[in-house]
Amino acid sequence: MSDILKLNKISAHDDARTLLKDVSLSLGENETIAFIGESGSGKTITLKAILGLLPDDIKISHGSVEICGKDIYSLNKKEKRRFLGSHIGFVAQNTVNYLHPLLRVGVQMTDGYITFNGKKSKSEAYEKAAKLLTSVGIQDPDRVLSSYPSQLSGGMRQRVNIATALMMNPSMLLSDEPTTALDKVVQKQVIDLYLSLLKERALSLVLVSHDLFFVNKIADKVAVFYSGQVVEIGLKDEVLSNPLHPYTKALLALSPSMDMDKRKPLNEIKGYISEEDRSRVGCPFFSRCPYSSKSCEQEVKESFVTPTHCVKCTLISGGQI
Amino acid sequence: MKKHKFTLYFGILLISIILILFFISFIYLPYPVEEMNIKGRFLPPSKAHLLGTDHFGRDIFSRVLVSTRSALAVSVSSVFIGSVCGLILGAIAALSPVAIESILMRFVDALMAFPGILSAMMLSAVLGKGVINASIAIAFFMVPVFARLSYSMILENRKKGYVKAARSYGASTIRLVVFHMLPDMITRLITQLSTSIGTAILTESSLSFLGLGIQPPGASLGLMLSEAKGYVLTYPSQAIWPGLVLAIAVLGFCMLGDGINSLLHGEKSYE
Amino acid sequence: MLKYILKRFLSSLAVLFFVTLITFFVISVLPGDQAILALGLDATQESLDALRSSLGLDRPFLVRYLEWLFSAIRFDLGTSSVYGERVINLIVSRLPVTFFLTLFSIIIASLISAALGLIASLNKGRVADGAIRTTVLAISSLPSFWISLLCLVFFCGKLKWFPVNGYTAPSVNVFEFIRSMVLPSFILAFGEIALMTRMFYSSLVRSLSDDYMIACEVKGLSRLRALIHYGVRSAIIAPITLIGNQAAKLFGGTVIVETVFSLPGIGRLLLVSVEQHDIALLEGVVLFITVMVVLMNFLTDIAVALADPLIRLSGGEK
Repeated sequence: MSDILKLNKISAHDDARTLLKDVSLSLGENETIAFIGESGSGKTITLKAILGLLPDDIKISHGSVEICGKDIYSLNKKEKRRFLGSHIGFVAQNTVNYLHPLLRVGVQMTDGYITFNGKKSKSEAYEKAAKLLTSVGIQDPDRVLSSYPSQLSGGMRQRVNIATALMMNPSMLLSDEPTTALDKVVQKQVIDLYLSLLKERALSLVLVSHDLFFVNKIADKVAVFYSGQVVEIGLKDEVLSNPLHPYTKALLALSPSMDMDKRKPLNEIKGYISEEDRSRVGCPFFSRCPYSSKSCEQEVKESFVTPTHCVKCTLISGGQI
Repeated sequence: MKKHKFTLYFGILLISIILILFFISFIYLPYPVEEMNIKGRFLPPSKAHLLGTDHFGRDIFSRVLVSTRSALAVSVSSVFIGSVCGLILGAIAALSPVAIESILMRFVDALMAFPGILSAMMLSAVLGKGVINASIAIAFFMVPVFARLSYSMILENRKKGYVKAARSYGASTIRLVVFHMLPDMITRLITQLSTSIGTAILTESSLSFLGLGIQPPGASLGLMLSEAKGYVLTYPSQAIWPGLVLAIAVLGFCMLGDGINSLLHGEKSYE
Repeated sequence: MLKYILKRFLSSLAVLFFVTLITFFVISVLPGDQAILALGLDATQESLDALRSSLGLDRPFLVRYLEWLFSAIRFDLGTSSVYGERVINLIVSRLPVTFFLTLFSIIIASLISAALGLIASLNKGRVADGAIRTTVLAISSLPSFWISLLCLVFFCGKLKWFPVNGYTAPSVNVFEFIRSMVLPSFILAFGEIALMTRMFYSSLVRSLSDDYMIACEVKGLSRLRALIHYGVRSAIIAPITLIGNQAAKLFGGTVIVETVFSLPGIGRLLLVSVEQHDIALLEGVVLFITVMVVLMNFLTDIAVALADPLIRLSGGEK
């Protein structure tokens, strides 16, 4: 199986800080990978690095991003835009401003398609948009196409965003916290929508989410981000059922479950990601980790527990569990 | 950040030039302002006459020095009067019940409908020419600007969390305005004041240029330019110096306002 | 949309009411007793009374105001004492100069500001950005009558591109008429570009950093299309308002360039009325200008509503 997406030791930094450090991962056809981790851990920056949409002040210092076998940072701006436009769909977290408030939904859904297929494809583009809107569960696509974004609800806008991302039949979809800004009922609908999309289409999905329930349902692989590094990555069952990194364990213990003791307070990870942790040579979780030892202050190597399950922790690389 | 500071420092530099001229005018005048010398008309700049002489043989440098007095006096006093009246009017409107609020704000809108120096011209027609009337006329012109400012500041502030919080624990309206809103308003106020002084200097000189402000043989930058106008094609140099000083004064206050604004709000001030 | 227009219309009417009230109060009442002004302090009581009743000054303020207002509504602004003509005719005959002056300068100012604002916003934070904004501020702060004099010396005196005192009526020669408008229009425009450039700049900066610009990138739209169709689209609304308001302001602020360039416009009429204490003319010109300003602002509000579906759909409620 060939890889749709391959990140090879991507590192990024802005003027002051290291934002990503040696992020490597790969994603095959029809696979779904989920990025989990707390806010500020580098999930969204990784997404933006894949899209080549980092702000001007953030630079990639080394590493490469290959999409469908093409190193996108070797392309010039225009080539990159055309390549990404036709190969990747992106669904943003923010449903409010991702759609232009002053343009009708139809215009915004179709103009990418028209850019690639020429002016004559306009009616074709609208047909396609209507079809896609139906497939994401919108009953009256024609009304939605002629409305302004402000006339739609948050859930509707998110569906429109998903449909827009699918306009060019992309081989990969990137989705940044698609359920965060929505209420529980709509969240459920969006999750179901993603599940059915993945079933119906040949689509790889990169998903950033805080919602472990969602991740558990949809992902094939999980990457755990902490302070700009991937501290643990593997197949979903490996990471979620057999977490090895202390951070992953702590993170998974956070989500409340039905059988927990309701008199006890909810779990938490004490402290926060400090600026020091970001620039640390050794393990970034060092200062918050209950198991930290002297050896954690040196550079921590990746250890493969299985061919697919990789952890960055001295507890593993030191051979002791 | 460097850029903002540049505007600020440059503004301060320009204003200092004007202030220095202003103080020199009290300490040392090369020639009496109104002393004419028919033989020495239109002299080019020389040691005796730093900037030359005008069509009556009067020393341009001395006249420019004295002009800064009226420019500063008129602008500062008119902005002071106009801003106090305007701020109070706007605050009353913002704190009043809706009916009174909308009547007052339509009134302010109506004042705004007298564009540019129209209101100043209208008032000076009615009140007569001269320095004091020019100040009143310019103050009138400033009222709606400051009324809008205080009105919008209070409305915006009212929506902010800390004001709602203060109200929830029972702070009085006056206390709210003075202790909770004023600190936030000060920066915008200073910016507006500085810019307004620039505008007022410009308006004063415009009125004088049109013959409605300071009367001959007094000295005002606008008046000097108006007098230079008649000879501008043959003796253009007479028009250069008063205009330059005027430009420095106006630009100085505008840049100061802009600089303070950017310094305190950063890039946000442009958004 | 209709509801919005109606709302703006009523609000404009209220503003107009105050405008007429202020105008009438300031010009007719504030100066004091016109009979004493005319006859002097030592005039007899009888002659004062006689003049007052012949001028209608013995009636209450409200009656005089309403009478003046209703004749103004019928375009009867009285007769100018200086020119001996009906004020409305004088205004109409001077209108073309001021109208075209305003029109040309607002077009020039908008084009220059839009271009500069765009360049600055695309180079945000770089040298070009700061240089443009500082230069524009400097240019707009220069006193217009000074610039006018300098331009007069340079372009009319030295280069002889334009005639000095060279006004030609449009009915005589349209080309010469436009030529006489070029310099004054540019000078008026210079006064506006600082404010307008800043407005274009700030709304563009905000628009360009919005999420929908990322959407354009991801959809593969060309930079140009993204910029024009998406970026400028939402950045245009604030400037439309400003352009409208400034056009209205300019209309009442042409007196200086009209004076320097000897153009027979409304501004000159205003100046004459002020200098000569021509009360009817002054009232007429002030009223005309302010009505134009209010009308212009009203039209601007409607233009904004047309450009902004959010206002159109919500009927102007926030």
